[in-house]
Amino acid sequence: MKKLCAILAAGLAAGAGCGGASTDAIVPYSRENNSGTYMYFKEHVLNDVDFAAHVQTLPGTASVVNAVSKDKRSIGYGGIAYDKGVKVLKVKKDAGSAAIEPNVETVVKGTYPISRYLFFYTVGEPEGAIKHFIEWTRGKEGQDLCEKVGYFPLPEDKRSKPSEAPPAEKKTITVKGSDTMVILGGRWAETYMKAYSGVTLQITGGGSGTGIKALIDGETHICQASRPMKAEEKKKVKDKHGKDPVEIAVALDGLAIFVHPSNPLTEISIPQLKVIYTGKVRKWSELRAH
Amino acid sequence: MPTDSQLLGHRPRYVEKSIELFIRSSGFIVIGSLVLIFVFVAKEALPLLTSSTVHEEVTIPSMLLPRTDNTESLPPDPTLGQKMDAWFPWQPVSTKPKYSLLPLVIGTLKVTFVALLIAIPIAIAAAIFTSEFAPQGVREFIKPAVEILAGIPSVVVGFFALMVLATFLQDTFGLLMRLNAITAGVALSLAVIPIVYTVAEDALSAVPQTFRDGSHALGANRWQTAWRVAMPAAMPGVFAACVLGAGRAIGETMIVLMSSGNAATCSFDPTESFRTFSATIAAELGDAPHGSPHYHVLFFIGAFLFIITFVLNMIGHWYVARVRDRLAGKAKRKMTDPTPEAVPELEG
Repeated sequence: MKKLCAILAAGLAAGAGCGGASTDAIVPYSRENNSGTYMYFKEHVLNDVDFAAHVQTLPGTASVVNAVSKDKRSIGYGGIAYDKGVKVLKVKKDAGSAAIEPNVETVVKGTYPISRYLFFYTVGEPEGAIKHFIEWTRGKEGQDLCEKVGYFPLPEDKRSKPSEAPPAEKKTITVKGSDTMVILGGRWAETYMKAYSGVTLQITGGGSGTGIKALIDGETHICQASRPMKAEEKKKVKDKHGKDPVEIAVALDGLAIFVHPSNPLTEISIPQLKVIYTGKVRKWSELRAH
Repeated sequence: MPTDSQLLGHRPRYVEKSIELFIRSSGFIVIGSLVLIFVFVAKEALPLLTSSTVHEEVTIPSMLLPRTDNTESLPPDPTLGQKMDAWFPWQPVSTKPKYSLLPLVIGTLKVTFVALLIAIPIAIAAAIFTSEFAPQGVREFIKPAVEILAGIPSVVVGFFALMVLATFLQDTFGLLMRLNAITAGVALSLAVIPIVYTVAEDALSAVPQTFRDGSHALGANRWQTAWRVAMPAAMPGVFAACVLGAGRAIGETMIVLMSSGNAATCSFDPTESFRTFSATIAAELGDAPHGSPHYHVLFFIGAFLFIITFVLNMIGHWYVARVRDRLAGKAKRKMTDPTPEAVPELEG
């Protein structure tokens, strides 16, 4: 028994020691592979190389931010609207270019290197109340709200003209998909339902892939997605419903890179992100060489 | 003399019949749905063995054997663990999808082992305490309290592990990763303890009081009686409790999904993140296109999990039945063999 205690104590001491010595290790967090953000990051940052096996995946952007805020050695990515208790890094396109902070100006202009459109998809051209809601989100009111919640508004030329009066039908509209867009969709729905009482909006998450699947299966009116639909997904909609899916850009999102507030780093380049997430570099001290 | 039907308040015969039919069919519905679930899972898993279009992307050997085409994620001088990760990748969403089962097997075993290591001693000690030592009042408090623990939704336990337990364990032991097999194992043991405790306690309580009276009469104290008489007599039941606990640990999804970090590595280190079978299904099935190789692989894993937990539960319940028969003196062996095997000897 004494021996066992000694072994246990030694083990714990070793564990604590190793923890202290390896503050240099990078602990990367990612999203689950059903997420549009995951797909975007893989395509635009990793150039379609696989994530390393040791990258931890969490079920939502909020969990990633939460994990990063509690872990000194960590790094994570996600929609900028979620930045609570973490430090947002400036991003450089490559080692030589300027570091750019994600804000309204840089994202709307397109100078921030990792930004993307957020989409609504419908089967065929939207009509009636659905059309009115989508046009409303792309109008002044919807876009102002978008900025207030922490996303980025569309450039002026992509917005919709002031929309006509809503059709007087009572309708429940379901919106399903991207977790990144749940906060935004929720705020839109809240404000819209106050203004137009005939319409009930139900917003649910699950990930862009889940939303697209629901659209294919005819389980939702609108699919919200943080990535464009793939060709085979578009084909499935056409095969099942006889109509092409219609893509409508409704907002912009900057993909922010999060680290713990105590991390001395202030900027990071896309190639550096790539070596971290593909596993070539596993220590903060080795990152400088890239 | 009043007849049965009079005693029951003159209930007409057809009412009686229809109630009986209802109860009987309820039983068959349960069995029927179990069979249907298995048939469905097996049917969706089968294309992995038979379909040639699926075989273009994944075959059973490719899921088991190491791959050499995946070196991009290696640092300049990789350790053995990093090489293992590159040989056995779980990368279903990729330009070239890779489905190695080894990291998931290791992850599942790792967390099950940690959870059982924590849960079994606690649960069995608690069961011995309540059935052998605790006064009546204490027993009536502890047993329902542990059973309430079983009623906590696993998503709540997972959330607790993710937010509170992970931070606590990391700060206390200086762990590199917040989410690891120790965090998840501790959380999972909260789900396993009630099962092991309840079954083990039932087994111990089923030991007839005459056994203990006999032991005391021979001069054994309470501890000797508990450890050398009650425990051996209830052993199959206690073993069954452990097996059922293992079944629960392997099948549990939400707790590990939230508190494991879900990194598909081949590391046996309990301080590192891991990915289990069940969490993989939960995380990925929603997005795997219907009929795709990824979809069939997930069902294959599901069928595999189903069989493991089914077999473990069968073994567990068989042992529970055995201890019940044995203590009730119904075991066939005893009819022919007069030496009562069930009464353990006090020596040793």
